[in-house]
Amino acid sequence: MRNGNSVIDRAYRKLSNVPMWAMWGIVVIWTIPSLSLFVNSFRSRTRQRQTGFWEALWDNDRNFEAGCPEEYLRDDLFHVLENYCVVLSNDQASGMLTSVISSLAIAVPSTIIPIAIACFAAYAFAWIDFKGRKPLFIATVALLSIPLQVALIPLLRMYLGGAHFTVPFTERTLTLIPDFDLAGGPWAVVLTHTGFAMPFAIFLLHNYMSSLPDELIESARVDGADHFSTFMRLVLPLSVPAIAAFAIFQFLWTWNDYLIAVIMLNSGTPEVFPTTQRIANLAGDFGRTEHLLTAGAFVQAFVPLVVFFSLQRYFVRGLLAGSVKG
Amino acid sequence: MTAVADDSATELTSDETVRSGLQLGNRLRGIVLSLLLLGLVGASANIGQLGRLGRITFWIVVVVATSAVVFVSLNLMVSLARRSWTAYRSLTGALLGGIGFGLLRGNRSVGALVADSEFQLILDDGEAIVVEDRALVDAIAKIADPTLIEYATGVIGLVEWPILGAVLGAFAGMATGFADRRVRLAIPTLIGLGGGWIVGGNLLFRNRPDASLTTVAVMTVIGAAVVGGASYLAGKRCVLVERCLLGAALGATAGGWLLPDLSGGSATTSQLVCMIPLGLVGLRFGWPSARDANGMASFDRRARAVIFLAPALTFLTVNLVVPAIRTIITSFQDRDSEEFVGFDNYRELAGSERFLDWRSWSGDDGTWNVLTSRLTWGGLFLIVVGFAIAASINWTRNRTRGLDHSPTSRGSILVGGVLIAFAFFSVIRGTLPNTIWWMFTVTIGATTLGLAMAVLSQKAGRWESIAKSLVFMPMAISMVGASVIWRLQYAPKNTSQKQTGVLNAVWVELGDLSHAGVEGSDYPGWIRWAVLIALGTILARIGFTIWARWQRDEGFAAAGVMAVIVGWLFIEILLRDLGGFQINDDGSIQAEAVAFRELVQPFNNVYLMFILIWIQTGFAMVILSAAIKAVPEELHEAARIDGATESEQFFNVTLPQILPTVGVVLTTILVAVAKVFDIVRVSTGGNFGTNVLAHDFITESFQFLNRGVGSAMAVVILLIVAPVLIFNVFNMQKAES
Repeated sequence: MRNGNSVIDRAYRKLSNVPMWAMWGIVVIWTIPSLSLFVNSFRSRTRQRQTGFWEALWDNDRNFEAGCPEEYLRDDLFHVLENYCVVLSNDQASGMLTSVISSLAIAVPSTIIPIAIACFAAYAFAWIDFKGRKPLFIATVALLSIPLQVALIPLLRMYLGGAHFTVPFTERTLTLIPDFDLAGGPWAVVLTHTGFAMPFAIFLLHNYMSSLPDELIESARVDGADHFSTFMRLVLPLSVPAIAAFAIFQFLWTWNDYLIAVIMLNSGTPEVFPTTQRIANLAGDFGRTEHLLTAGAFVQAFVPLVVFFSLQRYFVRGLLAGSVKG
Repeated sequence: MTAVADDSATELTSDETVRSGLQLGNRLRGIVLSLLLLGLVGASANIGQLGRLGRITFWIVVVVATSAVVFVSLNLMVSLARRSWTAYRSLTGALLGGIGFGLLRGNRSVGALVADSEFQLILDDGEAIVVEDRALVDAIAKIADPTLIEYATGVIGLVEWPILGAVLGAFAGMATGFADRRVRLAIPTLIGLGGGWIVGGNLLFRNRPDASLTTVAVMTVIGAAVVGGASYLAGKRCVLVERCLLGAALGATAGGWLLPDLSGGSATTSQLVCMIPLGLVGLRFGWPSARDANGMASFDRRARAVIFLAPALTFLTVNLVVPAIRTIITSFQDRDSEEFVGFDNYRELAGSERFLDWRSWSGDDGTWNVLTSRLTWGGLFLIVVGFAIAASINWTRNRTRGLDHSPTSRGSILVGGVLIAFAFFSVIRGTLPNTIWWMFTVTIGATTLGLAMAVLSQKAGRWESIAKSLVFMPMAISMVGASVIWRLQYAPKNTSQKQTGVLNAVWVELGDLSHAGVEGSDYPGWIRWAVLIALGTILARIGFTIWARWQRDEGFAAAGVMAVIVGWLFIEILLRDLGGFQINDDGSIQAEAVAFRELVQPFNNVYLMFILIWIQTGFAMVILSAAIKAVPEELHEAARIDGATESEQFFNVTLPQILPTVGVVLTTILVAVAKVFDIVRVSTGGNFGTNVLAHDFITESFQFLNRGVGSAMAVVILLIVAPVLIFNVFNMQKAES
């Protein structure tokens, strides 16, 4: 092998560094798909249908064909953004704005509620000494691996008609949960997400809370603080990093979910469909709106990408702390 | 769970992290604000959407605030118990009484003032009719002239019921604070009896139990005996009387309400049947003496545990455990969940070709298609080569017979195994093999690529974080979005049009290149020769490297892989067989695109799997990269001093160290893949032989409306995932102890 320091030798070493090339190869292959979506979302219907995204480099066009209302077409910028202008309008056929709000209405409560509930439970498992703590905790975490599919249909039936229990050997039926008519609305999705998030959230937060130093909690107890104030004043503020990690994880998960939405909202009006369902419906409907799919998919991915890139460190931390989520 | 989890936990607790947590708070606030702003700007184009945003926000705030108030007040109540036991008991009593009476009213068991009260009319011939509508009563009274109209309405209204319950409960609770034991017992019991008298007197006719007092008495004794006996056997002798009283109350309730028929009982019976259990509950309420400090502490612990755990456990039970059990039950019932049918659903599933299809297993001439598949022979060849390499290494090193595996030999055996597995999956079709194929391919693919990225990116210096971010990014994109993105990559266009998908564009271009000079190709003939010469040179260079490394007894896995790829390209171009083309009758060629998602069955499945690999590789990379960085530097140092090369360091030092983490990554991806639904739904809708269990389950339940078979499919998914579940719990218990 050459070990010299001349320009040619250095260039040779760079070029013959096969592992490095392999890595950049993977990176390029992994980036091209997202890039093509991004580029195509600015191109007109005709261009998207006729040429590949790479031709945008030399085959630039002004986007005149999407059908954006005249008043938006004030300057050149809006011509390029015409797909987005249609997608973000309130157009029933292709507008995404409604579904962006629906997605927020699902993702925000589905992030906040599980965090609160799981924090309580994680604290109890970590610091309150009660009988049966360990088996209960292991049972909770074991539920991590239950596939959603197993629980979905009975859940939907519960949201459709409440929960009833027929007492064995009698004809008597007790109403345990009345029919709140939740199916077809965002709260059905939120409650489902809350239930499914529970094992992972408890596992993650418990891992963190139980790693807090014993002396800290003990000294608070000696000072006369009960569990409630220890939790509120000490453990909760100290757990912010773990909570943030889970919050990001859960927000991405709920924003990107399609399965639960499609099952729980099937009976609802299109107004309540989240972005994923909207995109999936657009994708299933070839023809007039196909060119808007790219802009729509980018709008769908925009919020998680912002969250992801600005809070990547915490997201990674959440993954590391609890990489058993199914 | 593993070294990774421990490491991150210690990292999380450091001061630096607390500070970064605060920074995060600021950043989060920034994001929330900008999102709100974005929403407002977007919404300003349309006032209707703004209104919707406002409504949604309002409801979220209401729900969260109400829950918070409930949680905090329950905790304050328990805190109150330390200062004033009496106050705490009164509050508890009031709450229990209020909720209990409210529930009775809410379930329309007891009558209320106006709206939905009941009337019993005794007609001349002695027949009794129960009517719920006052207007109807008047109408009947005009025609039939009943001798007696009895009103089941009380003077107690809708709101008054819970208030009454709360007041009674509060008094009972307050009474338990008295020092005199007789008072403490008497007052709650009397209040219980009185409450039962009121409830019983106001029961609607349809709820009056036709109970016999003997049954009630017998059941009371049985209840007391069972619960008390269980408590005695469990060694809880100090609370024996309390348990007996509770059991008696339960027994009395069962004897009075569950066993006899409802409706048809007399007012006196129903009053008695209400008074007995409630009186017993009152007695139980008053029994315990005031607590000492020790008892107080244990009470506090238990009460807090209940308050802190109740919401989570409720959600887990109602949303996860009970539905899962119900699915298992419905999988043994018919399509409408009415009759039990035993294992019929599973039998139907196993017999259907949608689930498991052996038709391609053997060809028309009786041959096994697995044995005629190129994949099988290629795989077998690689496995033989792998073992040959291992044997020859052992021979050169030790001059003995046996195997000494190197990365090259292990790699080719692994790839050979994968190829043979693919051969099997390509002839055994159906949703079950497809699901397992997905699990196999995505898990191995994502983990291997993630590991490769984690190892390679370490040497990228300042580019490391950028490279990793780019590979990690698909994690943030939804599976629906990813399917749309890959639809662009896979898109085929027919021969006359330009290709818009990257993959087909490259493939068609390669077809042109390998036919350079032929009629219909865009390239002049010399280009093909130039490419062949370039490839040949590279091949020779790689061959020389392999030979040189072999002489020095070094590994050559990377060079071997390169040689295979370049050699394949060389041969294919030489034989004019590379790329997407078709040959016309006149010998000219024409572009032909691959319909990746539709026509190349059964390997279109692999193209869909790649979408998930694209998403999951980043996950595997991040976890494994953290694990690799946690391997102590001294180990590498020691290996280097012993003269280990980099690849030897990786396989002999790093890999054994991170093996538990690799296990975690594998199981996590495995469970995720078993549930894959979105990609199949958006890409093919389960057509073209790409259906998987998780998708077919939806079709079966919602389109074919066969709840039985649908549930059976869900149970099959559960059974596939169950080993992983057991493995995780087992690991966890090991980590706990």
